[in-house]
Amino acid sequence: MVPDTLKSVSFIEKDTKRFPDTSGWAYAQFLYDTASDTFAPMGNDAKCGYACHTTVAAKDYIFTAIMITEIVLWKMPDDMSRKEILNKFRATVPAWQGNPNLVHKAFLFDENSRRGVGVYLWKNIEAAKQAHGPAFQDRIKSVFGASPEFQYFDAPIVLDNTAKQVIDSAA
Amino acid sequence: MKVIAANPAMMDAYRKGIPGNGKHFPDGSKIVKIEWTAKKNTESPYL
Repeated sequence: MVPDTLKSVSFIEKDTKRFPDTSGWAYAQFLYDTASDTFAPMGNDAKCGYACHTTVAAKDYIFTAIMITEIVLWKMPDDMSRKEILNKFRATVPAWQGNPNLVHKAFLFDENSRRGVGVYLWKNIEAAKQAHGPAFQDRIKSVFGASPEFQYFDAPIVLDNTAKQVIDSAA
Repeated sequence: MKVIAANPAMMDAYRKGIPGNGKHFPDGSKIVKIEWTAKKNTESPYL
């Protein structure tokens, strides 16, 4: 694909002295109208962009993809065999393969503690939250009769010997 | 279709691991985003 008509031009700048009310950031977006060949501002001031960007306050108000590892853990039913559990895991593989934000996933099962675990490497936290919303939790509840517990970790450096690559967020 | 460009202050911050390392971008950090509608290039098989 190549560019067709211009839609918008946006600017973000940090100056803590000029924009003290918005953590130093100023945001501006101008929507382009092809028919009249003019730009119209989106909102009236820098606070409009700040309102949206507060959801990523932890990333200094900039939408930045930081890879994260998500661990989803729950208790398996006592009467479910290992084979049954693995078959249920296996059935979900194609759906996870279709998620472009999932880098890899490991399906884990511990026979002694009867714990099932999913370890995910995501391109960003938003994708993880989206994939594991109420619909996912309902599915785990109906298939395994358990409520999963979620843990999140930043994954700034990941090495993969099979793919022969190191993904370093600071590189 | 979007192009997102950042100035050297912003890029240097990213290379140092900001914001993943919990630190903040420095004053003078700038980003520009340009957005177009997309169309297929009928000439090139690549695009």
